[in-house]
Amino acid sequence: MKTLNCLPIIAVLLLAAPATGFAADVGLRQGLSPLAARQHCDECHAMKEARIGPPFVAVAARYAADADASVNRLALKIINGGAGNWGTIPMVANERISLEDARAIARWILQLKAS
Amino acid sequence: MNNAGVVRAVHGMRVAQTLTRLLALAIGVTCACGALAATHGHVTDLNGAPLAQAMVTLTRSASAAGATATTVFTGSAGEFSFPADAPPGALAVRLLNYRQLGGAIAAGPAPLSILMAPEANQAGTAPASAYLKDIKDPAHREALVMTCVACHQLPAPEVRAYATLLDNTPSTQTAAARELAWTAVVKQMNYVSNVEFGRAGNLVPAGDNVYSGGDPVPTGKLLAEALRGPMLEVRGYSYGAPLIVTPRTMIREFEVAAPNAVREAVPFDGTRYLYAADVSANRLFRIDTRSGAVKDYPIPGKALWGPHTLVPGADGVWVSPFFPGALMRFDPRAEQWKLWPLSQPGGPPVGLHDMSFDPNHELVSDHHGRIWFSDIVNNAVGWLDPVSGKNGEFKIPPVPGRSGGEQVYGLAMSPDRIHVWYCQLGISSFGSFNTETLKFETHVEFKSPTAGPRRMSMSDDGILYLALYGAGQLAVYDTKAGRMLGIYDLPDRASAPYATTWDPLRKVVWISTSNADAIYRFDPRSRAFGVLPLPRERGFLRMVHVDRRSGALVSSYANIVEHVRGPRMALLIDPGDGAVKVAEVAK
Repeated sequence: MKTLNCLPIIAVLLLAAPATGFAADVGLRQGLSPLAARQHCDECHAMKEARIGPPFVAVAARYAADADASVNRLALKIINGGAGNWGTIPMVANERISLEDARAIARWILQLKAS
Repeated sequence: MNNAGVVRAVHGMRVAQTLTRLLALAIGVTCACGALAATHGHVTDLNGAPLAQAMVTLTRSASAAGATATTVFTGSAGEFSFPADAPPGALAVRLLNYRQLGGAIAAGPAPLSILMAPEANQAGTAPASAYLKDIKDPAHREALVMTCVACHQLPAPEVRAYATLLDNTPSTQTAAARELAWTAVVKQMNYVSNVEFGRAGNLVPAGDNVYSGGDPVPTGKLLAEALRGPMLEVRGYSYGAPLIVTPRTMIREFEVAAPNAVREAVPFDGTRYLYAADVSANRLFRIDTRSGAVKDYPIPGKALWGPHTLVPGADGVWVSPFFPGALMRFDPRAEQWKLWPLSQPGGPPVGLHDMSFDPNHELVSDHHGRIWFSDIVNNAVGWLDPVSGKNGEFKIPPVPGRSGGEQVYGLAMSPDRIHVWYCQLGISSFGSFNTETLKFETHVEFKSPTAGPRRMSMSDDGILYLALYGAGQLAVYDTKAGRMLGIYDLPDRASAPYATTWDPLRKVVWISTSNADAIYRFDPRSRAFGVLPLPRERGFLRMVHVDRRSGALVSSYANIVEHVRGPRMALLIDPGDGAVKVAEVAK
């Protein structure tokens, strides 16, 4: 079994290229909002491809008809995690995200369909 | 009391207040922190029985100077006392199998009486390793430690919270569903590692290829088996060996404000400063152990290096960076960096891990002035002549039956400065290289391929001590006789021992753990272990250094990268064995 150890991964990924900044930059490069990138939403979600969790555009499409009412529900899902809408695997809880930030992320997700 | 008595009393109070102010002024001159009197008291259970070896932590108030937190331990009568210069703040007590009643209390000059109630649920006081104590198959424990604890404690609080969520979710009540869920978490971790460890370049591919840790399914299965139930409780954990703490033991923790990823911390030249590496950025921190003040020393240039392993030397703090291609040194006296590019014609860049150090854990060169290092990327031992700037390296011969993923890791130099000893983390072996003949000589394999030797050290008389991360053991090898003296089970086999440090002052070995919030002491004469518990969860340790001047231990919580939550702190520890020259600490 391969390990998650940092250093063997370097062996694969080595390259002392110019600095590109912190991990949140990756999320930004993948099209996330600055807040979603800072909260590492890209760890499980991509914009258009299903990864560990559903793509953001699919979430937006599902709740498009009821976007305003869905903000709070999505925000609470972000914070508390849980399963049910997208399969059996529960989303991890993100209890360190404030309700205000979770709502902002939810609003960003829900506007994706319109953009 | 009549009027005259009142006047006398008031006068007496004024005199006392004046004396107190004078005393405060005097202390203010000699102490950085200004507390008026030593905070002291007793810790007892509800029956009034004294509780010994309880951790009493004083967390300083935000406006105060000094260590972020200072921890002392109670004596046999439950008594504790902080030094007079401890900063003002709040006290909290931790003790396995007990919980403090009433929460944190303000420190002050009046004697404090702290009550503890029995608490069989050890969640909150037992380390992460406690949750792994019931894994029946040692191979499973080794695999989980080698895979997960390489980057974070297992089970970290977030992991336990996910176990709770799985336990509460109707769709994950079957073993198969839980395996799927844990496999998804492993995928998430693989993605995180890919992002973090690819920070030196834009190396995050799209789709499923982002996962860098190999097949996540086997680890998902192990996690599903090991992390059962809601994980809100853990019971029956013991440290596994006697605690070595005394009323003289003192642990001072110095927090570095986020964001950062403090990796290692070292003392330098008997000063009051500690130097800590920030692997998430290009800088060292200098921590003033008197005031707690932190100063940055950025590495010049635009390339991302990520200071990682630190070894003090006569001429500065030597630094191996996380991202490959150079060896560097910071001169604290001149406050200047010097960087030596390491070339590797035709191959991948040189990825340093350890540098050659002596039994005092100070950088040492061979008889030709060459500094030796382990190159984990090329699985080689390499050298640098810092005078000429030339460098080279020698690939470690493949081990039949264990080729691939070798990962040369720890490195130590023999007292005669002729041999460098290295270990290979990925294939559980170690060996030696002769710096005169430039030939590999000794090779030894551990029986388990996941035993996981990491950082090692050597005593003055050539005894090599290896920390077996996966196996939770200490290997002791006589390099002169060429024979294994013993492989000893650590007090906690899930502790993930990261490093050994030979202590030339005490003639003992310190073993830092990544998963047990503790440092172990091994006495080679009695072959007995002792436990120095740390006062904080997520005490994910790497190296321990012994400050030659004071005898204090220096370490750090090495929670890597921003995803891994946990304290970012350097530690200065007086083990309380009388060996520390208190006057020399924080001078």
